[in-house]
Amino acid sequence: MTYALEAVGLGKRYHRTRALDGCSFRIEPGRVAALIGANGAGKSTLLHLAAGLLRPTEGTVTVLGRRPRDQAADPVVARVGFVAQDAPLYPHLTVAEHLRLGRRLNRRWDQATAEHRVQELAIPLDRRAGRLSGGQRTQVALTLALGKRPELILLDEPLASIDPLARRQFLRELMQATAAGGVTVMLSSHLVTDLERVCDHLVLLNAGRVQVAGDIEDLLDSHRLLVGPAAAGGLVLPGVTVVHRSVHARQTSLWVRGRPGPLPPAWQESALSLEELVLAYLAEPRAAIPTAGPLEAAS
Amino acid sequence: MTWLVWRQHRLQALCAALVLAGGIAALLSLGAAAHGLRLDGSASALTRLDGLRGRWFGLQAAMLQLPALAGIFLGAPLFARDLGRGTHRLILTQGATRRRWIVVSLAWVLVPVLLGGLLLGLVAALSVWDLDEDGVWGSFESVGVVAGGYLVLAVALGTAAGALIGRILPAMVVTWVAYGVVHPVVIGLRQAGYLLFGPLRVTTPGTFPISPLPAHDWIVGQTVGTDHIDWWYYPLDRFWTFQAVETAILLALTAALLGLTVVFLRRRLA
Amino acid sequence: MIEFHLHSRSGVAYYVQIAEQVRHAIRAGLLRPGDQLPTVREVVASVAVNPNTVLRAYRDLDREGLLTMRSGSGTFVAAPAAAAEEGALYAQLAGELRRWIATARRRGADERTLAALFDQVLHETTREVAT
Repeated sequence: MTYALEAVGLGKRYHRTRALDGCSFRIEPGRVAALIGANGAGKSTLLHLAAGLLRPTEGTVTVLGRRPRDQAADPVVARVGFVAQDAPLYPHLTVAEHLRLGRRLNRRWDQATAEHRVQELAIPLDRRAGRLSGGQRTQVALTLALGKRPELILLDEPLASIDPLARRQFLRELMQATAAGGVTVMLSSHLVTDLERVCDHLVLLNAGRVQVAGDIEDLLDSHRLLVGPAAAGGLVLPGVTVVHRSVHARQTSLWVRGRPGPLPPAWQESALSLEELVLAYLAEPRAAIPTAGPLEAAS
Repeated sequence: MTWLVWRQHRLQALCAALVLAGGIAALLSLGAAAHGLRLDGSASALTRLDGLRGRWFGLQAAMLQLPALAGIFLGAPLFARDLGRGTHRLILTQGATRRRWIVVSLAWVLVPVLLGGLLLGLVAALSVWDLDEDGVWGSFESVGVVAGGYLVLAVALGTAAGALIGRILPAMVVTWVAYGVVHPVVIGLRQAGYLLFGPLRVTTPGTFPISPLPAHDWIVGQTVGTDHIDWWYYPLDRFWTFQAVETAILLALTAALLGLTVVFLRRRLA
Repeated sequence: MIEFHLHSRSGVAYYVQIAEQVRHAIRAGLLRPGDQLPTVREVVASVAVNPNTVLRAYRDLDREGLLTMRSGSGTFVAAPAAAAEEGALYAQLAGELRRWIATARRRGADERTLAALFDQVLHETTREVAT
């Protein structure tokens, strides 16, 4: 199948710093993927590479089966929508003028839907972008990205500086756009709980590397939190990998991958939320879920 | 893309057009008045002509500021404004290619500036012979083709600074400083005959410095000997040759700076 | 019409929450046979959730026989026969489970062990079905 987004050994180096190193993952069409990682982990860089704003220094990235920098007659980036961090808009241009910008620059543009969306959100068309709230600016930026009728939408921290109500509204808009079908989404955020509602795929970046990549439900299904007495630090569990361990005065907590069988008494097992899973892996940079098969780039 | 460039920079474009129109109007009115007084030839007319000459010097002083202003307000913000705000990411993901953005932006600022500068220089050239035929060398930068050359050079300095630095205010400062360095260097080249033409020499006996040359020649130096003085000068008939050479130098520098602008932008957008 | 409320930290997957809320609504009589459920788009518009989540819940319930998904027209609550069948099935399974638990308890297994065991075997068998 043609993956909506595929990276193989993708790397980006600036002078001496490595923003991304050997990243490999695949997103199937129709997924809503969460790109999670600490500040500086490389999320923005990854999204910029996918959007064609940057050129890789190692490896490859393909969107909808083609390279984003390929400026052939029918560039693939015409089918990719992008919302940059802080939703940059022209402060002195009105919302209507931004839509005009979209109409003039893009080959494919749906003016009617874009206008309708803006009006539904009660954003006045004649207001200058500099006078909009953070949430409204993000919505306008999303409208511009969606107006291209893209098959892939990339969003760089769209929820970062907007209030909870606006965040919920934004996600609602985004999900409505995907409900129409034919769209794949990747969005990065710190706010894992927001992403858990809407995302079904996870790419976890840690210091420029992909630490975890996979279907969220599979991941949550295959990980467990085990809590037991501190003395039992040497607990042996067959078929289970300990991702992260935390020992307190009287208690040991183990974040494990795999489903343990019957546990000795005094041990409790519970499911993990996405946030807890993310935190466990972020705490252990060397723990990773190995990706096998054709994604392994020749090194 | 054209619409976007216009919409973003329309305030500067309108101001520049106003300045251009005002400058041309002032020059034309001065020139026409001077022409009339010249034809008149009477003593009172010549006195009034002296007064007009004062206004001409004032106008020239203003015109000499134009290149630096063009560089700072038209050149520096051209790319720095988008780069500083991050809106280049918007444009490039909304269907514009790097090439289109760069070429259309540069074309829409350089071509009008060049044409406007040539027009100003042409109108000034028409007027200068009536207003101040002895001071033609002194009006070198405001007259003829050179005026346009300095304008595009300064704009290119601005675009290069904007592309390199990526923020408007620092780019404006750097442009101002850079023009302040490049401008005197070119003037120095002019004085040295661009290393192509040496100044001519004429010698006067005695050590009392009375120039033997007509007022419209450009005296670039004197060497005082024990019993004579050497005068170094460029005659008036060199004027248009010098204009051509200096304009060629300015355009070559402009081209180089535009090349740098593209290089800096490609590095940023890589 | 029914409105969904999703809780993020409950440890229960969202599609399960939606399915449960539909089952509850049917049991409580808020949804009656023939009633149309909100479309995927409508659910997504009111609750910001992945459309596939809603689809999955509806499909599971369709498979169970509680709902009928008619492509093009929407999703409807199934005829009462199916609902009653479902209730009967649950009652039978609950009875068998009670007997199993009683046996296990008699043989000394405690609640936590039973829960873990059930979870593990369920997981294994689900895996087997999937592969």
